[in-house]
Amino acid sequence: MTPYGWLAAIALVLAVNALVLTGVRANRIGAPEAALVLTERELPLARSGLADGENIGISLQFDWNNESRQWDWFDRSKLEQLGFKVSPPSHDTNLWDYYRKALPRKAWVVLEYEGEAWASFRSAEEREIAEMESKLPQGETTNEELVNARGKYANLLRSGSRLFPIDVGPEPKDLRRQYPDRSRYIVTAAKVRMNYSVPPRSIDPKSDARLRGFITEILVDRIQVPHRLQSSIPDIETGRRIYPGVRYYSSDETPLPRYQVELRYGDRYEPWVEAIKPLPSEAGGSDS
Amino acid sequence: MQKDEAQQRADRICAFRDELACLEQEGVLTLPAGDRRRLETYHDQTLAELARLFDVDTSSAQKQMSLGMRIVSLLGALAISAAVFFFFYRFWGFLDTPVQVAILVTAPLAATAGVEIAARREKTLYFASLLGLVAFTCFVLNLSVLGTIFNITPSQNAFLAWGAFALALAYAHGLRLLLVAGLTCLMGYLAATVGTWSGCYWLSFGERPENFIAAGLVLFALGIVIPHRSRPRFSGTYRVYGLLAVFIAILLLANYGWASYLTIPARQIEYLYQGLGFLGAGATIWLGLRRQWSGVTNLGSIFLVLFLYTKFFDWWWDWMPKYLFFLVLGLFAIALLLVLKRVRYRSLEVGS
Repeated sequence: MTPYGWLAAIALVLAVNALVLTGVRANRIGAPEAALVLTERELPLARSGLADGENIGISLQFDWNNESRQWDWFDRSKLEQLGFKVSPPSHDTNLWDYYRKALPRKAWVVLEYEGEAWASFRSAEEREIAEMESKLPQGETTNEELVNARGKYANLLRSGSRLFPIDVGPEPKDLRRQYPDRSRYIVTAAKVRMNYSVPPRSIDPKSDARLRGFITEILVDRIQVPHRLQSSIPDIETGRRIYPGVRYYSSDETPLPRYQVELRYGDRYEPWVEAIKPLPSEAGGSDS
Repeated sequence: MQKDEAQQRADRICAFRDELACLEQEGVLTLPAGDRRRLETYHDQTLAELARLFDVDTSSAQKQMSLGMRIVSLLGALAISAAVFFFFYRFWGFLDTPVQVAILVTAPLAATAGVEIAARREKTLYFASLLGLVAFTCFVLNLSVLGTIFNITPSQNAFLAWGAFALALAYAHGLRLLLVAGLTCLMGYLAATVGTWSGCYWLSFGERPENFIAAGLVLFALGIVIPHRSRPRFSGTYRVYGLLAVFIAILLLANYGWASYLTIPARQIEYLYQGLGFLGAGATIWLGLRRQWSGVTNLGSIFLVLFLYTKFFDWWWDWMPKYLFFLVLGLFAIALLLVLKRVRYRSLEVGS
């Protein structure tokens, strides 16, 4: 028996916890790196990984809008900045496999809240609906498809996330210098990959194939709600909630956001919930 | 003297007694009465002393009981660890953050103290081993839940902390279960760190089995380099566990070359790793026989057979009738037994 082994274990536990808690404090002291007010649209209640009742902690899911087809900004030069080898070796002629096999990297992403990307997305959706309406008389689309598209768009305006990724880079401080408005832009860590794909309705896939970056996940995408704030979430047991990642097609199905969240980011780019306030049932930031 | 050495001494005494009885029965050797009495008295006293100091097994019935108790200890440890895990998640939503943090930090400290108390009171270390696994679970829960509460970006450094904790307890009391837990965490940390050298995000280290080859070789090397005089069985655990990681990674790459770092076509990668697997298994058997590391020899044999069987599957499964396929496998196993028997006979001749 080594006489001091258990003391070493105890010292390790204390030291590691001290280090972790010091890091938490360092993240939260001073002025926040970002401070936004989001709603249930961007921070719906997260699903628990355990069976109902086995995990009664409450966390919010970070729900950013990845439906946009506006990823042109995440191009080859951005991928090279992040350290990806965008050009395959000369002996490797299978580009699909090469890019698909490449491993993901950690990068820093800028998320814009209710800004130009949201406006641009809405315009694109409206143009698409207008195009379908023009094709309806010729029979190139059906009434059912048009109704679904209108319903989906209307519900996105009521409950869809208004957070859009707009830029990516290797250094968070450089990104913050480019996007200084801390009440509109979040700089956060994400996992990104290369994506070699063909645009929809392409006539010549081989020449139309494009290399773009793709954000697979935000690294901290679940944000814990402290116990003192849990009672601020209205109708938590019985109310109709917005489910993360679910898209609604009928206005009867669409729940309205019930609360708004003051979200803060600290010096280590890690978030926390500062406050939660209920929203009136008619409000909730609908853009219709 | 450690418990392992004491048990080996007790086993030798019991074996000596059995062999002496056999020799007397066959009329080969009969000890004078005085010598016999002195010998029996000495062995009885030695066994009693070993049992008192180290709680060793002095009969085959006791050995069977000990094995059963080890299994029960493991199952009990797993059940209590699961209970701690689910208990915390069931009730933590009712607690304020400072209380949550206090419980998370206190739990592994209390469990560690429990390990030390159990080890001092009970020489067999069954309860110490059980509490050790509970302490490890509490520390894993400690860091995981702190990360959840404060929304901390995940990092591979947690594996290093968990591994160091498990190893500290394992070395303190010679607990092999905790050693395996510690080596698992250490391997995760090494594999993740090797993965980040290529620039990839650390959590994707599992997408490249070569990361585990590097980590496994490090553990194997540690099993040779570190003498482990006070824990002789630990060296064997390092070697076998390290090689296990290496062979599993090679087996995966031999069948799924797409997951390799190499940029040559996947089929060529698979051939390369198949060859490496056969050579590695053969070299492992040779090394195990040469250094008398039975665990290493057995591991090499198992993977040699696994590599062969996966090749047979690739070649024959699709077109050969199934009864014939399994018959061929069985005949191959018999042929392998005959070859190994011949090798064993030759090594006995060389030895004599």
